[in-house]
Amino acid sequence: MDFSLSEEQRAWQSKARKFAREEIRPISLQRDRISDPRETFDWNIIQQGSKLGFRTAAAPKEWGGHGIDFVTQALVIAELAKGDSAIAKTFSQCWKWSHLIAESCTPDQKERFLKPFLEDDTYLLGGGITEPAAGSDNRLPPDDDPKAGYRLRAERKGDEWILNGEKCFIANASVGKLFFVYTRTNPNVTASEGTTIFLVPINTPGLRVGTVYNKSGWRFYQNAELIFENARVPHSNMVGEVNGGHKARGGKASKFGELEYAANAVGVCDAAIEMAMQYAGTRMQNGERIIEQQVVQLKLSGMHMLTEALRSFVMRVAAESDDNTSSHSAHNHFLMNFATDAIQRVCNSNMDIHGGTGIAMMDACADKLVRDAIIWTHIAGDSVQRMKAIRHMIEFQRS
Amino acid sequence: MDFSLNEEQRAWQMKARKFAQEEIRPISLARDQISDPRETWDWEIIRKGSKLGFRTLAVPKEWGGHGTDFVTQALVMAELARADSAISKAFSQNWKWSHLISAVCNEEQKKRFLPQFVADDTFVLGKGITEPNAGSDNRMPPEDNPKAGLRLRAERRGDEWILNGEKCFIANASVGKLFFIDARSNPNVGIKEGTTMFMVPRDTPGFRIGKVFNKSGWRFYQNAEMIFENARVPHANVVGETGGNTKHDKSERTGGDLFGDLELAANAVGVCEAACESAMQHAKTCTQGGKPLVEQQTIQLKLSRMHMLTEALRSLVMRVAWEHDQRMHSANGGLAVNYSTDVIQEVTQINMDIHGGTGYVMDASADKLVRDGIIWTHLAGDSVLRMKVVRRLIK
Repeated sequence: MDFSLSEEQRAWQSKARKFAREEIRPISLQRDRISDPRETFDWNIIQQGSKLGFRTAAAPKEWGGHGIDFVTQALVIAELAKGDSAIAKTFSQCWKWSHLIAESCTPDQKERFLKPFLEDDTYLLGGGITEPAAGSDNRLPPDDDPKAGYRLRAERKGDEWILNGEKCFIANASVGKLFFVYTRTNPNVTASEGTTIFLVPINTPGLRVGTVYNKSGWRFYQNAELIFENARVPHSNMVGEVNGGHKARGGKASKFGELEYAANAVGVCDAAIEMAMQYAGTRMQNGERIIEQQVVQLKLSGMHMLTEALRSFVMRVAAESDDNTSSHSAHNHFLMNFATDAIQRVCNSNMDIHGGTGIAMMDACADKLVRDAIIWTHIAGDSVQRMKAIRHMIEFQRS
Repeated sequence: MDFSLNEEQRAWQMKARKFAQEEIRPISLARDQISDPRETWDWEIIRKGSKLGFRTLAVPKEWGGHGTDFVTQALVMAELARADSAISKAFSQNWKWSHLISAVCNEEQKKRFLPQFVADDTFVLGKGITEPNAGSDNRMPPEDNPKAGLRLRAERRGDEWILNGEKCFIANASVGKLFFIDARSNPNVGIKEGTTMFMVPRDTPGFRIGKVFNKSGWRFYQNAEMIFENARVPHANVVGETGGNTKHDKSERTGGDLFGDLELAANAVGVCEAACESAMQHAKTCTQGGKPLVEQQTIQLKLSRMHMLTEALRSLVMRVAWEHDQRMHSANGGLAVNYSTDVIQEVTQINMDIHGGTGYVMDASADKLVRDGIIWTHLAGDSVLRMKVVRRLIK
């Protein structure tokens, strides 16, 4: 049992903290207030962060990345999210898919895609899974309905695959250069048996970006439609095997997603606590600072309590994920669900403590944290995830 | 960052798990159902546990104890509590005060009390703070009212102190052999300046036990009144200095807070595990609408929540235990005990919910877990502690 950080972990944490405070925080509210969802992105902050290593932090060292462990990844995400949750996610979204490249791609694919990703400060990654009629069914496919889940078709023609269909809510779709697209190569069997994943560069003929969604929170982070009309993808861009898509995503790539959201939530909770403590320490009511009042103390106490419980849980799961001897348990799922509960309660308490100024004035930022936190209800399917967690656990007990 | 256990920690955990499964679990419900609160205690289980080291686990090795670290203590408490929360607490209550003996008693006192405590399998410890009119005021004394808080008087006469007054809800009062008693040696100043702590053996003249409280949960664990009528305590039994000027860590003053917070939070982890286990078993075997409960979405969400909260609590508890071992003092211990209150109550209630009507009958054990969980609302003053934590964070 050891909760201390190594020097390297501490160094990354401090670097992220500095960048978040000096570069991210000052632009966070401005970017949030831009009304056109296509205009909220800022390449300058991405370039700056990339030069410090935040874009390529999770790529393996042998390919020129930083190869930081899960504990460091969690620390960095939390620090960046304290500056802005959506900007933190823009960076860590690249880690998610670079984990997959490193784990499941061939040396030739790594050469063609990891290298340019590492060299270009504006090279962002994404994955395309969700479709207009397929969200939760992708996460928790029903046993008795092979038609459930995504339907985007891929058919082979010679050395190419022809992709037809539509993906929606795709993160980084409007800014990314390379996407992992989940397709059906066999529409007559279930998604777990009929899926193939392709590496699809944004300039693929027949691929275009549709609507950029106008979200209430995480406004910096872009979610958009990807439309495939006879899009032609070379066979050499296939990840793993034909119909082997569900096998391709395992190991580190699968461990990371849940940890990522939970670590991001820690940073948002830290930001909410900082705001609430500062406000409660200065705002006067009835001749005393509101922090002297019992109801406010109970609220602040609840905020700290949930945040420290979440931080402990995140760091534990990060450490367990780095420890190759421990099996991938249901803890990752439980962690993410817990992050949803904690971030939403903590941000609501912060808004509550701010009173009218928290909700009425967007520049007070309390409102932004609440809006950012709402997305946890949908990310990766919150209630689906809760059921998945328990099913995972039951299976684990059986084996 | 490393969440794994070392071999010694694992060995203690396994020993506690075995004892809990084989010895505690079989007597847990039977003891809970005894209606006379004086009769719920079982010396046999205490003796057995003591021989395995669970009574003296926290006593330093140089005094013949096991000197385990806080991480091990947390693991053992959770394992014992998984079988019976109250029996676990009956053991760990001794650790709390043996921590206090080794932290603040002088060498002569240690020599008089520690070897006896270590040698005698039925030597149980306790501490008297709460009084009929003084509970929360002891934990968070108001600055503008010196009269607030405990009032039990101690007056010096020569080499002795004469104690007069009453303590209530005192844990182990009816079964313990030695007690730490907080008394007012100066009634005109606040308790921080006017309190002196005494070691009071059970057979002290003028000291007797009053009623044993009939609690709805934690029935094995005995809480009773202590009545002092010109009780005579030798000056040599004063702990630290008179008048609250003890040099020891202030956080130990109100009852070993450093350990106390961890203790309750770790105990809650065990109760939550028991509830999860019970709920899962019931959900797998009980069918409704032609399929097991566990295959129904509402039940899955409930089970998921139970595990989620339990794992969050375990993470916080183990982190705090480790921080205690590093002597890092922070508000995290207080946050952990507050969180354990929320979690144990929600988790045990969901378990009862999943059991449906059968959960509400007393022999189902789902009911017992809920009743045991209620005491967290009062232990160490739940809302008082929540405010105390924030005051600490402000500083």
